[in-house]
Amino acid sequence: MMQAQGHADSGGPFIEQPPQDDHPPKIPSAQGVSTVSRPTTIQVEDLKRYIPSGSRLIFGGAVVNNRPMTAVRELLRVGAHDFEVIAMAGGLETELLLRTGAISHLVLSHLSLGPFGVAPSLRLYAADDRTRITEVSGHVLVTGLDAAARGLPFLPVAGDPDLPWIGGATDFCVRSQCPFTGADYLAARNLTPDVAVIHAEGLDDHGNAQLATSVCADLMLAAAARSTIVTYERTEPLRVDANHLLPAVLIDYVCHAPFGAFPTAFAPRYDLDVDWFDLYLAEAAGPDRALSRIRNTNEIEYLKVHGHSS
Amino acid sequence: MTIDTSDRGRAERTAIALSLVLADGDTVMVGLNTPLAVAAYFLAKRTHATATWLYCGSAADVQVHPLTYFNDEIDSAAASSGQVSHDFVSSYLRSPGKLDIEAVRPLQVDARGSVNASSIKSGDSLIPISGMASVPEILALAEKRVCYLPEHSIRSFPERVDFITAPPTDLASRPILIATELGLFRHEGAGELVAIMLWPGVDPKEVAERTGYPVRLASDADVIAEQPYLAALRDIDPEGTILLEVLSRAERLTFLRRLRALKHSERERSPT
Repeated sequence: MMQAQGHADSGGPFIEQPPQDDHPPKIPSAQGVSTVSRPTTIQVEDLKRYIPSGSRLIFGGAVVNNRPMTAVRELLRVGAHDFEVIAMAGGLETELLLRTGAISHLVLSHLSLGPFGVAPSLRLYAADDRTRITEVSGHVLVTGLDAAARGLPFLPVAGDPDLPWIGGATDFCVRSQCPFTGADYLAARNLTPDVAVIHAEGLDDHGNAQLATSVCADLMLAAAARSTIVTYERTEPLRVDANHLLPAVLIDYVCHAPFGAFPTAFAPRYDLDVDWFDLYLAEAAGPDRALSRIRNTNEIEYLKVHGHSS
Repeated sequence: MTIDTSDRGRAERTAIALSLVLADGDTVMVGLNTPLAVAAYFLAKRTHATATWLYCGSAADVQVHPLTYFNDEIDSAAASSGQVSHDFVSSYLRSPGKLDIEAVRPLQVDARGSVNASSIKSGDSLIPISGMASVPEILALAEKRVCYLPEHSIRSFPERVDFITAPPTDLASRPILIATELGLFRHEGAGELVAIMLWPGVDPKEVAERTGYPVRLASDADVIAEQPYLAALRDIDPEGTILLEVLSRAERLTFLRRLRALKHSERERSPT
């Protein structure tokens, strides 16, 4: 197996690279400037190769906004499994992975379906042996990701160091002392995702990504992860505005995935699909019909039959 | 006088009570999945706290001008003081001395003032509901500790919480303010809930019956004035988006369909 091409810390050999000529970079370069060698363009059906079973994953967006659902559906289609998912503001992507038993460890700060309420799989599988759940505050997770993005082993967390749930979350935070003042504080451990998957609007000529209108914590996720995959809506190159810029140096792979956030919202391009959620929730306690519909189609067929029509 | 016990009435009374916590000059953060709190903040800006600094985390999923769930055009920044990224909120705004208010909606607040935003007991098991998010840090760091619970019940205010997300630290000097459908309360960690404002028609006995530990009426307890708040709230939230925080799942789906249809018809009337 070949070494990962990750930008932050390539310590873990976990991603198999495609042959060099499989998907040559398609990023044009200015006259006289050396060719930009990344991000590497991949196809939807290749996404699963770059998000291997057993990875620690984090997803861009929040709750039912801007979730990289095309990538999640590809994972469901191949039965990828044994993921550790960091659900900082988790939503439908985590719900579906939980539903299929693809998550062996859920690091939970928040998981819901937004206006549709609690994520049914969280309740259904909370007492299930197949998924271990560690509940950690969002602040601890953000600080751990910040440490990863900065290449630090840990960072102190502002707040109360005497929280009773810390004992169950010592892989992520421990009580410590300030080396200068001796004051007690909470230390958040470096939290490096193996893969961050983010859904964006499009790319410019240099491979910089234009993030969604709501940027959520996408920039930090990309900076923290060993490998970052950006799926995107628009094929034509665009001019990225500074407030929504995800620099190309933080991106490893890009993949065109129109309606790639469906059925979550990708404002203002499309809104969340109430009908989809309605059907999913109606079937939540029964057989996995929603998942069958995903697994029995490829992505193009799925969106054509069950998704937004272009 | 009888109070409106409909879902909308409960949501509106909670939002108005919550708005009364804000004061001019406060720095306020909008959290995730909190349309009722968003409405309360904008109500305060419209009425008694016009100089509030209100920041919408970019992960906030309600549009606020007017309040709606469907973000056809995100213009939160135009209606608020600015929109900032989720990690910026956590790293910089939720830090000591910077944040005055970010109201949290816990599952339970007990007699000691412990807050549960995590799990509910079911038999011998603890069932996670949706995770604690950043409730521990918000309650530790915000200048004013503020919670809201649209359903005032013994289940929400038990003698002991099922899980301690945030312990009752320094409540005597920095109490928790709690807005509910019945009024505005203060919790100083002394084993009682102190009513500081009640809605007209709410009997303190009713509050006591719906609280799992003693309730005391503050010596300077006041009555909440319905107007001008109710009219302003309905102007801010004509579609009743705050209902999303009080309806059952089935009712929410019906409500969201109606909201969606309303948006479609608006678009058709004024294509851009």
